[in-house]
Amino acid sequence: MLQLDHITKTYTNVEVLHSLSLTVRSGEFISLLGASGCGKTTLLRIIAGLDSPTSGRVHIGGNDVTDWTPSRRNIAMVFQSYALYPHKTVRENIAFPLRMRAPWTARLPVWGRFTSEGKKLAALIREKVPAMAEALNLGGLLERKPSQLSGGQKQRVALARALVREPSLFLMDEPLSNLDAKLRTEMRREIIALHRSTGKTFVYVTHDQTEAMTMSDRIVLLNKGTIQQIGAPAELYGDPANLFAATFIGSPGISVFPCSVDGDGLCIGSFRMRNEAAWNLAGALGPGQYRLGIRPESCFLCPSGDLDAIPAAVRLVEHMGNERIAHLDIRMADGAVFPACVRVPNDFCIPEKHAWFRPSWRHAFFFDMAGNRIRPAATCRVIPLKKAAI
Amino acid sequence: MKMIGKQHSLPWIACPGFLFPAFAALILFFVLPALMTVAVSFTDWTLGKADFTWVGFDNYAYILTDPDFLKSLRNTVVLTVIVVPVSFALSLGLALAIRSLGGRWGELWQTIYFLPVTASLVAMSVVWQWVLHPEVGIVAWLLSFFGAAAKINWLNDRDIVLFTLAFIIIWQMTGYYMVIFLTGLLQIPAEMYEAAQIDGADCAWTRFRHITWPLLTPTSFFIFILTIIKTFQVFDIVKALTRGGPEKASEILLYTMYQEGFSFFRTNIAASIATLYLLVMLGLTLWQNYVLGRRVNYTL
Amino acid sequence: MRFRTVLLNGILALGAVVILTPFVWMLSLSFKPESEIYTPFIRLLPEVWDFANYAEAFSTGEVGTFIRNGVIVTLSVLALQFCTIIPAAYVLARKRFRLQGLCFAIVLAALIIPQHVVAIPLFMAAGKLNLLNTLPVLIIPFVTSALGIFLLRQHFKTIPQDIIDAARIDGAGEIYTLWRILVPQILPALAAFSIFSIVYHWNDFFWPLLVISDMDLATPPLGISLFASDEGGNDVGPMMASATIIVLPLMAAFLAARKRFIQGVTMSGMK
Repeated sequence: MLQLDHITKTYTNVEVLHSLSLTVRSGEFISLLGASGCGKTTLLRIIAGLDSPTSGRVHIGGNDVTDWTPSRRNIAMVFQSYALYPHKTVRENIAFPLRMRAPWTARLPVWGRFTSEGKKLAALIREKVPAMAEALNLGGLLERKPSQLSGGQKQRVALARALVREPSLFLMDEPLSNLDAKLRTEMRREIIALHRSTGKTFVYVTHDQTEAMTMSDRIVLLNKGTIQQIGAPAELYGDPANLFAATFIGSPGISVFPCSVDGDGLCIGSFRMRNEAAWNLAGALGPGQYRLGIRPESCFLCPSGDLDAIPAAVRLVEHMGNERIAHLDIRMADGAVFPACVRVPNDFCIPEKHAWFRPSWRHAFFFDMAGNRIRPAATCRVIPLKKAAI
Repeated sequence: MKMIGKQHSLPWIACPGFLFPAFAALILFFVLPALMTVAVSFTDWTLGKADFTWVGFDNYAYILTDPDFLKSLRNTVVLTVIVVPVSFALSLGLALAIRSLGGRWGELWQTIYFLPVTASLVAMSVVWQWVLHPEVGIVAWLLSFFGAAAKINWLNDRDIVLFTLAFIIIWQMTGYYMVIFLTGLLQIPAEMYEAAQIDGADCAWTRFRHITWPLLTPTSFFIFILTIIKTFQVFDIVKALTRGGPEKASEILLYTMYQEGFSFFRTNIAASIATLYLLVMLGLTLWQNYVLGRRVNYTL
Repeated sequence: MRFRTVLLNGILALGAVVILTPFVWMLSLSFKPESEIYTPFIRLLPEVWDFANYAEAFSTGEVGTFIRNGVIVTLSVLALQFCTIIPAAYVLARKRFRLQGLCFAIVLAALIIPQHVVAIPLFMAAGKLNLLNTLPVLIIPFVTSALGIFLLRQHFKTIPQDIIDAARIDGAGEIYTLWRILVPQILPALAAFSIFSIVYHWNDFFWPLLVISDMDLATPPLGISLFASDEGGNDVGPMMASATIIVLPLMAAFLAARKRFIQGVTMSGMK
């Protein structure tokens, strides 16, 4: 459906996209996720044809559209600021794409209305615009100007304007970031429903991992203009490809510790792990310096006597309702302090000052010092979590 | 989005068809003529002459020793010295009074004082001529009513004429500066005054001295320069009312330029005066921009 | 507080009398027959209301011609300025190209250059082209306005890029986007500029004075000055009637749309 082939974009000698390739299947909901400045909006604008790539090709529906104008690509785009035309009513805003796609004779002022194309256009607008408005709960608002609408209503008009002409591809640039939290969850569900009912391909740009995780079939995680990982939400969470993916996804975030393996086994910072699982992992990893990532639900508070218990100071306990999150500080022998997060069930006691915790070794992620994921040999295979817990 | 230039994909020009009409006109009707004026000021060329020679600064040497030009320059400066402080103080006072009145009264006075700005100064000059008429003018009548016996010839007395012109200029332009001051005053947040009152600034003068005046500085400076520029640009009333007379007592810079260029057809001399005039305008504008920096508010 | 209000109003009223005197005197004289004008006794209202002055203003003074010329010139200038400044300001505000800095410098330069300085070469050019004493010569030099470009550029800059992108995706071309999507959003700025331009060219005296000597082609200020210096020098009544007719349109516009008018006229200290 949509295929990006080694897209590179350079501004003033700064490369913002590095040879980026991606294939989006027809009917898929794909999110471009990343922090601001990672190039996700630039990529979307290249797909839309609003920017052209410095090198590389864009294919939509089997055609090489790299040199096509945005309107010829037949895409729809929803903007962060909604980009409604402030001087046009809701009806005119929604009708605008139809009008622009009509033959030029239909668009002539006054005269156009009397041509057959003009009459066809008017009929099309009469048929489609109210239906679209109805579908998005905008029934009574057709004669209003954008300035008289609430944020959520503006968002719906923007969606209606995108939907009205049956595009081949939907592009959305952070469409929910101007809404308040409650409305955002609502609109999230509406967009999912819309995707289901239209069956079109959606490309959705966001910096909000919750949106990406809850809505997408697949997520493209971007950092500094390169793809870090492409995968289903559960894959990104349970099987991150590198340290960036591991730290970007998840809230509260993953805890990362320095980790070393030598002839005597595995150490987390200055604490030597003496249990069997750690010993096996040390064998599988081989001697060297690593980094260890542990998700908050993959470690537990434990008695001080456990063989792999790590001592920590309790900094803060957050009550989430269904559980608590303990924020711990681990002080290494060299004085460096590393924070750690632990999910604690409500019926579990958290000591006030000092606690011990240990990782669930089956769910620990190892990275080399460059941040690449290392998968220790099969004996102690890390089992990816199936459920995205956010 | 901030980088301009140096980018290889950046075109030299965008949408030339959109730019061309405006920029062709700007170059043809502003930039080139201005350069030509400056060029002519260094030649001996006069209207109708087939050829010319470059004479360096001779024209400037001539006008700067010409008593008539020096008189005209002196008149312009005198006019500026009278008009600038008076219209500055008056417009600021009016703006403060109207701001403090507010409401319907404020709007009424604002409308009345702005009225002369909208009127054609040439048409109003004709009217002023009859208001100031030494025999049948309303001013003469008022003077005689208060017992003054002498008939004062406001526009034909060489000692008075500049003051009369200054008065008419002030009459016309004060409303203009007043509304700019009002815009400046409106930009001072009301909380400032409330805070000052809580801090103990009870008297109006204290509030003016410590809040209004300091916060109004950019506007004040803007208007200060503007009054100078506008006074240097005075031409219409001199041409319509006095024609520089009597005995060149009201001849000012632009009128001299007009005379030299279009009555005596000494184009080179007129061009020299125009160039000096351009330098003054340029200097004032650059000074204004330098002091106000990026705060220059062209869209007051 | 009450006392202060009364005092302020009193002072302002005194000033207002001075401001209004010429207008009142103009109206008063314009309705007086000649016999009432040359009297040492001043009466505000005429004893005999005489509308003959207005009739004479139109017949001998040709004030109708001045008004017609004024309307033709100001409206032509405004229409042409719209056609040139809107596209130029749009490109300067929204496009990026290497000569942008130079183009903007030209605008700023033209903004500073006073009309009086360019008058000499323009006058000679007009003479060469046999355009002196024609209406076009009153219009052509003003087909564009640096101030207009500068002002509209600022307003075009405030429009979000998203709206322009949305129009492109919806299939609107560059020209359509500019005139049908962007221009409707800067109408207030265009209105302010229109008022500025109309007032400036209606009242402009210097340029018409140089290039027009024919009474039939005079704009209002030039017309009344020619009228005053020629035949009408002592026809006070008709002259006042002419002045009234010339001053009235802008004054009426000002009273009708006070805020916008003030905004337009004070838009620039440059001209």
